[in-house]
Amino acid sequence: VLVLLRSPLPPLRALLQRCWGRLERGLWPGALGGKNPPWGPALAVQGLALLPQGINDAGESSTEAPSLLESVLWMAAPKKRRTIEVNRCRRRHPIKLIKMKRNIDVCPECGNLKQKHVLCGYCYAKVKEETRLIRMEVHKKEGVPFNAPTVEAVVLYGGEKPTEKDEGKQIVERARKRPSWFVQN
Amino acid sequence: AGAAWARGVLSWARPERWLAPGSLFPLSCIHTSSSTHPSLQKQIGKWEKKNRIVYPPQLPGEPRRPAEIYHCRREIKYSNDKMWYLAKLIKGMSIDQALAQLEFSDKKGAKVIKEVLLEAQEMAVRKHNVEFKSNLHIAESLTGRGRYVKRMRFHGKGMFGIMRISRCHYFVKLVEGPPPPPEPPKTGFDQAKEYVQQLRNRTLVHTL
Repeated sequence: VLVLLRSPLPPLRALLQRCWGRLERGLWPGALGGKNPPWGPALAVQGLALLPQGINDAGESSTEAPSLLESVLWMAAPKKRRTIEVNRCRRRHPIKLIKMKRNIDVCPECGNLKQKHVLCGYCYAKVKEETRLIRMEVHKKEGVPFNAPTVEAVVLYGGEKPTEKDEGKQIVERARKRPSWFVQN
Repeated sequence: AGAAWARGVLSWARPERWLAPGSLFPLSCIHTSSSTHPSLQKQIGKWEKKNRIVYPPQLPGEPRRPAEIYHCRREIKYSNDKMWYLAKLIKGMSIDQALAQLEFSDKKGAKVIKEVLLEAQEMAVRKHNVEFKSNLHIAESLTGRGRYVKRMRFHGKGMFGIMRISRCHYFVKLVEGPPPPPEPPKTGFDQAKEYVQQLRNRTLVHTL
């Protein structure tokens, strides 16, 4: 009789283990519905009272490898509760503490802090915002989606005029003074 | 007309007008809070009260007492253990260094601690007579556990777990002045010297 259980609790698991053990050892006569008297020892010679099926069953139970259900219940579990001292030693070990970063510098442009291998957050946000406004101008000019001309674009600020170099290029105009970081060619 | 009448009634019903100016007891302010039960009133924590202590004026010869600023934030939605690592990181640093480290930390609590430090810095300059806002260092930085609530977490096959939503408090004490130099690590020679000194301090007890 194979009984499938879904994650039984530890005391229940221990109880089941004991019941199964008793069944295997034949110490629970009333379990399988009336096999009285209990099965005799497996190696007894005077087996006249035993049924041939009884000998087979007893033999199997002693020589067979532990069943799947038994091996499943033999799992790793903590033996003792970890004390708070042991827990503290583990949690506060230097390898677990946050390390101090030594790669922080000052951005020469704006003066905010930046990591050495990363762009300055403030300057990047500044450029991103300006790019967004330029793109809005471009969309206004195009009107319909998928209408981008296949030429270069030139951004002109304030009262700037296109030079002879910007002949065939698309001109995007922004109504403000040229920012200091956007250098004109 | 009705509004004017109501206003007139209310103006008559104002209690402070009942007491004459030259009365025996002064005009008492009527408490507008609904309850005076101590558990229902807003509790001011011990850390907040530390800002209220007033020292007697210093004598001319005494060295200047550095300014101390206590600040905290309560019920931050973050775990106490995780917040402790950040508090341990910035213990003993100068405020600029601490702000730099927290800005580039990936933890959720780093943002909260940064706000707390900036608030405390501003408080120091405005109210606690600190001259330079960079001349502060972190003397103490602690965490405490806030109120936890239990909630259900639903698993498959009808199983459930009980999870707890943890909150924490964060306390910081800023002191004026440069940060103290770090303690040099204890060498074997120092430990040996201490051991020998302990042996030399042994005496006979309960004797003449």
